[in-house]
Parts: sequence; C-alpha cells; structure tokens
Amino acid sequence: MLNYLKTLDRRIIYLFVLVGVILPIVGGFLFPVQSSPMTDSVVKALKELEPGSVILVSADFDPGSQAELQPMLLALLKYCFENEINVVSMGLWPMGPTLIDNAMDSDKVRISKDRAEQLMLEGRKVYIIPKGEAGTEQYLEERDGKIVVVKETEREEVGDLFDDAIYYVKGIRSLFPEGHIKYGENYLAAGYQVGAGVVILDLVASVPGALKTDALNSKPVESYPIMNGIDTLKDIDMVFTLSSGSGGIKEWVIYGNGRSGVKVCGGVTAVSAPEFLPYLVSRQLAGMLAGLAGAAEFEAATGYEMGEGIRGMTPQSFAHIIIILFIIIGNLVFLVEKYSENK
Amino acid sequence: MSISMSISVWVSALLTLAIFSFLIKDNPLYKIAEHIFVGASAGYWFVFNFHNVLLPDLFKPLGTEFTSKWFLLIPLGLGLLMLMKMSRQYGWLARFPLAFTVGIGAGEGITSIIKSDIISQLSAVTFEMPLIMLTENMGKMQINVFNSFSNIVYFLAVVTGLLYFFFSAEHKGMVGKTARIGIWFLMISFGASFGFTVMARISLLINRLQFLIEDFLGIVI
Amino acid sequence: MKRQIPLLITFLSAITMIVFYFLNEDLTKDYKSGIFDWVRIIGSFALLIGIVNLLRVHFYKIRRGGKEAVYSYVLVLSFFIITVSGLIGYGKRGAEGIVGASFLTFDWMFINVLRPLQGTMFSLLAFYVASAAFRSFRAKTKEATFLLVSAFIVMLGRVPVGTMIWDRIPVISNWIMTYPTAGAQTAIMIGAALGAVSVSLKIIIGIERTYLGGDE
Repeated sequence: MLNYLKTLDRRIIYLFVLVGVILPIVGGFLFPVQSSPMTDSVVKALKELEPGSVILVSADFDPGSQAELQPMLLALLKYCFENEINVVSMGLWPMGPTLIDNAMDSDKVRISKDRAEQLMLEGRKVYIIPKGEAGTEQYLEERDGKIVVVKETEREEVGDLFDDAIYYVKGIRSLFPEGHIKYGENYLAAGYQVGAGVVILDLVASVPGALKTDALNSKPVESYPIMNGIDTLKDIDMVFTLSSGSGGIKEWVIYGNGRSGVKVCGGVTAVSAPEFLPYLVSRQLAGMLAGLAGAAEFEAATGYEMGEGIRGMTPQSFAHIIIILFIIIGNLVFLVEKYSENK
Repeated sequence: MSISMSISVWVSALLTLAIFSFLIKDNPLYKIAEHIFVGASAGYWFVFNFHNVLLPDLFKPLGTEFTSKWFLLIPLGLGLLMLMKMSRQYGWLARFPLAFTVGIGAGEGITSIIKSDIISQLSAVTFEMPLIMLTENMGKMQINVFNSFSNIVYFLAVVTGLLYFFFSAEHKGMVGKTARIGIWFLMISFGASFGFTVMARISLLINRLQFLIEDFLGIVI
Repeated sequence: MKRQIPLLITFLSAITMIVFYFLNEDLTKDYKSGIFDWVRIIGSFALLIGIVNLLRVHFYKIRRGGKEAVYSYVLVLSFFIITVSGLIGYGKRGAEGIVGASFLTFDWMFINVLRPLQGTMFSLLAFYVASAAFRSFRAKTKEATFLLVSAFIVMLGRVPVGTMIWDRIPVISNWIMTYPTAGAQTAIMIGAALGAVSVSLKIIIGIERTYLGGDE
C-alpha cells in the first residue's frame, strides 16, 4: 500500500480533482457564503459614495483571469447602477474594455424566476434554459397576456414560468428598465488606454486630456454630461481596478493614490492578493477583493444572487478538501517511511 | 443533456478539450491547440499595438500633421534601430533605444518606488499599527490586549523579515536568532500565498468545467 | 563609443525623469506624456522583433519539413488569419457599444478561440498544483510545518466549508492574512524596493551594463 501511494500515478490525482469539481457543479448544491474583513472594506468604501458620484472602473485583466475577476465586475456594475453611481469604464490592458462590454451586454446573468417575470413585464429580453434543453438559445415573450417560449423559429405557449428552469439575461444592462443606463449620462466607455502608469499620470493631470475620446462615438469625453466637474483624478470619487498583473492595481496605488490621493479599491486574482496586503494596511488601498472567494463574498454582500462567485464556492470547497487530504496522505506516507527506516 | 448547436460553443469546447487532453499525455491534438494559441496570441498583440500605439501615436500624426509633429521621427528612428537587434552585424545599434527606455524606466521607477513601497510602508508600520492599542470602555481608555498583541506580531514580522534579508551581517548569535524568527513569519506568509495560489488555479478550472458542462453539454441543474 | 554613448543616454534620460518628479506637474506633464509615448512606440517595435523571430523559427521548420512541420503551418496560419482580420475589422462595434461576434471576425476569434485557450492553459495548473503538493509538500522541518499549517488554515478559511468544520477557522485565517502575512509581505516589499532602487542607481551611473549586451 505504501509503495502504491509513493508511486501513485499523477493521473489518479487529476481524476480526483476533476471529479471533486464536477460533482458539485452537476449536483447544483450551494454553500452559504460569509463575508471577510477584506471584502467588508470594499463594501464600506462603496457605501460611502453618494448617488451621483463618479467611479472609474478600470479592467486591467485578460481572459486568463476572467474566471475570478469577471464575477467581481458584474457585481460591481450592478451595485453601481442600482445605487445611482455613475460609471466611467476604461482598461489598461487591451482586452479589458471588451470584457467590460461583455459584462454590460452579453455575459449571462442568472436571475430568479420572480425576477424573470418582473423583467419580462418591464419589456426586457429574458432567456430561459428549460431542464434538459440547454442546447439552443430560447427566450420568453409575452403575447396577449400569455407567456411564450421562443426557440429559433418555434414558439411554444406555456402557462406559467417553470420552477426548475434557469433564467438569465444578457448583460447587466438588461437587469434595469430600458433607459436606466444612459450612455454619456451615467455610463461612459473610454476604452483601452495604452501605457499603464503613464496613463494614470496623465489622468492625475487631466482626466479629459488622458482619456481624449470615448470608445463608442469617438467624441471628446468632456462633451458628455457624466464628465461635468471632472477635471483631474482628484475629482473622481473612486477608482476601482480589476487587475491580474503588472499594469494594474500597483500602478493605480503608486501613481493614482500616491500622486492625487484618489480612493483606490481593487479586485485581484487570488494568486497576487498576498502581495498587495501591505497596501491595505497602509491604507493606500481602501479595500481589496481577492479571487473567486472575494467575488462570492462581494456578491453576497451586495445582493447579487446566483452570481458566478457564489456558484463557484461549492466546487472550490470540494477541491480544497481533496488537495488538503492528498497533502495529509503524502505526509503520512513520509512519516511511516521515516519511522520504518529508523526502526 | 442537450449538446449545443452553436459553432462558437463547439469551437471553444473542442479547443478546451484539446488542451485538457494533455493531462492524459502529450498528443497531436494538444500540440495543434497550443500552436493555435501561440499564433493567435502573437497576431492579437500585433494588431493591438498597431491600432493602439503605432497608428494613432506615430503614423497618423506624421502623415497628417508633419509640420508640427516632425519630432516623432526620433522615436520612429529609435524604433527602427531597435529592429537592428535582428542583425548580427548591426545589432549594437539597438543599444540606443534600449538605453533610452531603460534610463526612463530607472529614473521613473526610483522616485515612485521610494514613496509607495518604502516610505508609505514604513509610515504604516509606525503609525497605522500602534504597538499599544487603546479602546474606550465605559468612559475609560483601556489597553486592547488582542489588537495590541496582533500589532506587535505585525511589527515583529516586518522587522525580523527585513533582518533576514540583511546579508551584510552574518546570521549568528542574536542576529541569527532574530533572522530565524523572520524565516518563520516568511514561511507563514508563503503558506498563505500557497493557499491563495491553489484557490486561483481551482477557480480557473471551475470556470472551464462550467462552460463544458453547462454551455457545451447542456447539463443544467 | 558604442557603449559610452548609450550609457550617456541612460544617464541623461534617467536624470530627466528624476528632475521632472520634483518640478511642478503643470510644467512637466506634456513633456512626460510625450516621453512615455516614445517609450511605447519603441516598445511596439520591440514586440515586432519577437513576432518576426517567432515566424522566422516556424518558417524554417516548415522549409525543413518533417512531422513537426504541420504544427508550424497551424501557428503561421493562425497568426495570419487573426492579423489580417484584425487589421481590416478592428474596433468595429454595433449600437450602444455591443461587441460584434460574427464568425471569423477579430472579436469572434478573441471570444471563441483566444479566451478558451488562455483560460484552459491556466486551469491546467490546478491539476499540477494538486499533484506537486502530494509529491513534495512535506513537514520535514519546523519552517515547513509553519508553511503547511498556514496553508491549510487559509485554504479552509477562504471557502464556506471552513465555517462548516469550525466557525473560528475563517477568523483565524483572516488574522493570519492581516497580521503575520501582511507583515512578512511588507518586509518583502521594502526589501525588493530597496533592491530595485539599488539596481536603478547602478544602471543610472553606469555600473550595471548587462542591458546593453554584447562584448563591443
């Protein structure tokens, strides 16, 4: 047995990890998520923003880190638009702004059956995945007081919404009534800004000068009402950066907070979180979300039910237990071997 | 279960499975996916740099506002000198643009790092984490034992950790013992970092498996 | 001269940035912005070197032929498809900023080719971490034990199952993060910053010359 464990094929370990992650996903059970002091500091900083405040959301990550940071982005955007905080989005990484666009208009945002009904009544497009029918895209329509499921060219009338179906909308924009998010008034996309630290230094000096034109219409950013009263970075109420590596949170702290004193909060991948803890202690960072767990805690704290973060915590828990057990088994094998040698 | 009929989902799923096949063993499918990744990434970065740096900051100004932006010929020249790195005979010409960028980086780095990573951190150790924490209890100020102990631990972690990295004095006697304590704190920190690293990797795996199970295979609970 | 002039350029450009730091921001911001534009432009040309080199290596493999040549064909083909698509159709967006996603467009390839490939590549690390931890994570010394115990507590404390096992685990985990870990990371940060300042000074005054490369 000892020899078998010592020479255990690594593919057996892979299989245990795989099964440990797949089972909870397929099983669909959710563990309750509690907040942590790190996440509480972010929520506290956001709650201090009054309606009408301007937050600069900087997506400084790429698809490799999307699993951890996109849930944070979705929850943050939802919180901001729910609480009338104006959002100016940008990115220091090339793919960042595209990921913000996806969050606004195309990422699947799961909702409850009641919310689905409410959004349908408000005229929003709600998608449905009936049990066992995830292959094709289907959405709901209301026709003469009846609910119709539309699948490609087929239309099927249903009495009530199903209890055991999944409902979702595409993008955060769809969670709000038509016209709630008005481009240029409470949301502006400034797009990819080349140069990381340089861009932030430019922002410190002049926000319109640094951002120049918006990504959608290529008009000067100062021509939009959202930018009224915004001259330098000091006039921005908070910078929230979602960052996965160099050219992100560190530069915002060093140049943004360091040169202008603007409040900076960050969402980072779990692997880089310990590195930025000193900035939390020194209050150069007002708050920090760390990894998928941070995203889950933030979703729970801001009322973003059925978020990807919360759904990911159960497979995460299983995987951690499996890895810890393997480490314990490895150490037991080592101890038994050492004991036998000493004998 | 109801497999997706979308070509986009199929392409994503097949590429995902091709990469995962490496876990069983190295195989041609994985190699093809890997080479697609390298080629597509290189192309992507080329396009981005062209559209976001070279076109708006160099070629367009030189093309449309030459009389006022003629000095952009200097970075263009430096950039072309950089390309000389590919030549064995004229590779030394690349030293000029390299010297410029390294000098700018060194000069800018010194000033920023001293403030954010040294002065601010020392200030935090001194002022943000006082060794004796007082709290008000029924109108009287009392020592908060737990918070004070925690701040002392923090202070010890910083000081002993710094001492461990100080190699100008031999790690013997008192210095050696203090450096040893520093190693313990560093090990606790590395353990926490390992925990976070495991979390990060598992999160990525969860995301890919959720895509395969829900979007591709259509197994939805 | 082949080394002296570059060293002089390094010195002058570094001193310029240091002097700018102490001058009024209004006086220097335009010059700084311009300097950093130049750095970005030079960086773009450096990227070109990498790409040309990559293509050169794979064109050579294609010319040489053999079993491995097919992978080089795939690489070169992927590069050209995405480059041509990007040069023609970069940045085209629909109404309200919605990203277009028609087949084989630049955005389509980003969403359906690059994104899954990159994500999956990184997710392989989850398996490797588990396997490596089983094989080599041993509590052989006191220091290794500290590392292991801290890792266990943080791994359990960051997920809901930790609370289910014992409700104090997240509290202990948060304490470990906030005090000993933050303290050690502060020490590492200060040490690394001092090292970076020392290397920067050596570069500025010309003691450190490895970035120039070559013997001449």
